[in-house]
Amino acid sequence: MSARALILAGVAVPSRPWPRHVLSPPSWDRLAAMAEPTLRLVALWADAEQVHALFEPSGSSEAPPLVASVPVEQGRYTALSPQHPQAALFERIVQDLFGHRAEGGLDDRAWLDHDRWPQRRPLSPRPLVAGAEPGPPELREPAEQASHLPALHQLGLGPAGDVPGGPAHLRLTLSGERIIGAEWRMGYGHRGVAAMMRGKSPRAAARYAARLAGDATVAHAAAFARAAEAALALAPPPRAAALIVAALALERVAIGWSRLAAIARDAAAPRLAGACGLWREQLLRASAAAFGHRLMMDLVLPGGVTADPSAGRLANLQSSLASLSDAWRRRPPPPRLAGAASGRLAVLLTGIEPDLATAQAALAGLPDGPVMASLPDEVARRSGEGFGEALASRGRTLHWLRVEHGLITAASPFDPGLLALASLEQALAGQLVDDVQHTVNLYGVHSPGMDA
Amino acid sequence: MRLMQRLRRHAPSDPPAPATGSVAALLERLNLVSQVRLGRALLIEQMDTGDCGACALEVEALNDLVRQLERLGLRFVHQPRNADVLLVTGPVTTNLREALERTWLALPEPRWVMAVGDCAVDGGVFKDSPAVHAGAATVVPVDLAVRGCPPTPEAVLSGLLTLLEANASPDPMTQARHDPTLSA
Ligand code: SF4
Repeated sequence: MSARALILAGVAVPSRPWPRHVLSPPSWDRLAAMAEPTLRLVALWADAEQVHALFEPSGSSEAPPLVASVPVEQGRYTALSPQHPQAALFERIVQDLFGHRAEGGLDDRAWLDHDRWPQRRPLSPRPLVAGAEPGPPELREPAEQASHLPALHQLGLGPAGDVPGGPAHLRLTLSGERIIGAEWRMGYGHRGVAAMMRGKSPRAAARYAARLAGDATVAHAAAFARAAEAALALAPPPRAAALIVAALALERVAIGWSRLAAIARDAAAPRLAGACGLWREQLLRASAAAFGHRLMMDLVLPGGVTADPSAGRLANLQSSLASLSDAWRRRPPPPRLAGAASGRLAVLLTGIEPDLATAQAALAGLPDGPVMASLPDEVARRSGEGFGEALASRGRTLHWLRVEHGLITAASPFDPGLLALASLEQALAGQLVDDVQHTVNLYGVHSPGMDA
Repeated sequence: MRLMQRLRRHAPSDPPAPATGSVAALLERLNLVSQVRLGRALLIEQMDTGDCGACALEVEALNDLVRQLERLGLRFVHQPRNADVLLVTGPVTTNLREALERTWLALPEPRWVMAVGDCAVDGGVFKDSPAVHAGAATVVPVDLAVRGCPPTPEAVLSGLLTLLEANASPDPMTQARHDPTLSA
């Protein structure tokens, strides 16, 4: 039986746009044991009773994602991380927030919980009083020392100060200037976003989604809104949908320029850095003039958008975009980076122009009509589960929500950095210390949204 | 050439005038702390205490104008031991409280603390979360609060200039020229 068939054989629970399949623990155990290269795990999360995993078919397959769930029995479930190493971080987060133990997991150390919360397992129905269990375990031991290398030493950065991707603690194991191992300790920025969302209506909770990560505020708000709309079977009006497409593209361009400016500054390309900084500033001012907020925070709500720019403001935004596109085409040369970093830099550079075009096209073809769907009581009090996604500069944001009688009872936000961290740690091995800052930026690891 | 012209056209506007309302209170405190005169220069250490990243982005937008900033006597440093001002963004998560306390202690006296953004001012939307301390003032003494979610770079700059004026003018008579609220 393939993993796909195994998941589809589970009891389907309605959820939009993809149903969720609840597997019996023995079926889940079989799933966990399968090496299934055609399915890539992209998220793992929990509620009080179950653990859920979202898989995507890898490759060019058109098939929709698959969602598998398993009931948690006696506080445990079988870990997926042995076959899907990227699950390890999610398993640590689930353990910290709910206390569900991933049995046989690659890593059972705390991640978000630093022994500083008033309560442990804050999302479990029975949180523990702090101090009832041992504090956070230590960082990994440094890699075995290879005999041909000079003596290793360790460099610990943060959590205060300028830690790449931080606030975080970064421990580098070095041989001279070269990195042998890199490990982040995050969770410092945990504000309890999922806990704050519970018990609120999706519209009231949207402000927390918009504040998960400042460099993806539109993307997180849009993914959250789409999840809420899926759960309530609500659709934003066409004009709002088009404005959201434009706002997402504007955010990707502005943040893309921020990231490029930082990378160029770090890699000694001051002309590009200066130009990107100024273009970003001009774009943020144009966005503020059109939408009332430089970063378009709180623009997107479940059901639509909160600002409807007038024709004159839209024309101004369009002409700013035209002159910025023109300026971008004549940009100063990018820095030269080595190895995989150069490929990622190329992706970042080539992504700007299509995003500018997307924003311009969405604004040019803007339909008339309202920008916010009405929310009659019948809709506002619905129950359901939904997923939503959106594209940020650093990658895809994903949200899952369960709404009961109009109030959120469970929520799980996913920042793109969560999937990127493991590959970043691997990519840093072998690089020079000086390359850390721009490599982190290129991989899109930034802790606020990951810590939630 | 056209690029340069365009860049110049979109160069940031002149810095706004300092918000002078809070200067009096700052001066009073300055007089109490032996009036160490640092001249017209403020070294700033930025600390993120659970910022969503947007406040930090807007503070960074000031860095994009760094030449102007230094002309105004403002410089970001990466060593609390060298800093006059601790610029705090974020609501102070329980996981970062200790780091904030330690960083604050590392600043030489007299040290100023500026809370930038609604989160740092009072916890903002997170103020009721058990995972945060509801703002910098719950942990360290705050001298100046700049509201906004996030505040614009101009508002941050205005706050910094307020501190700069207070820092450079321990003499109320000098200050009176800049601050109408003190001249009465
Ligand atoms: S005040 Fe607003 S922008 Fe600043 S850190 Fe808090 S949520 Fe983010």
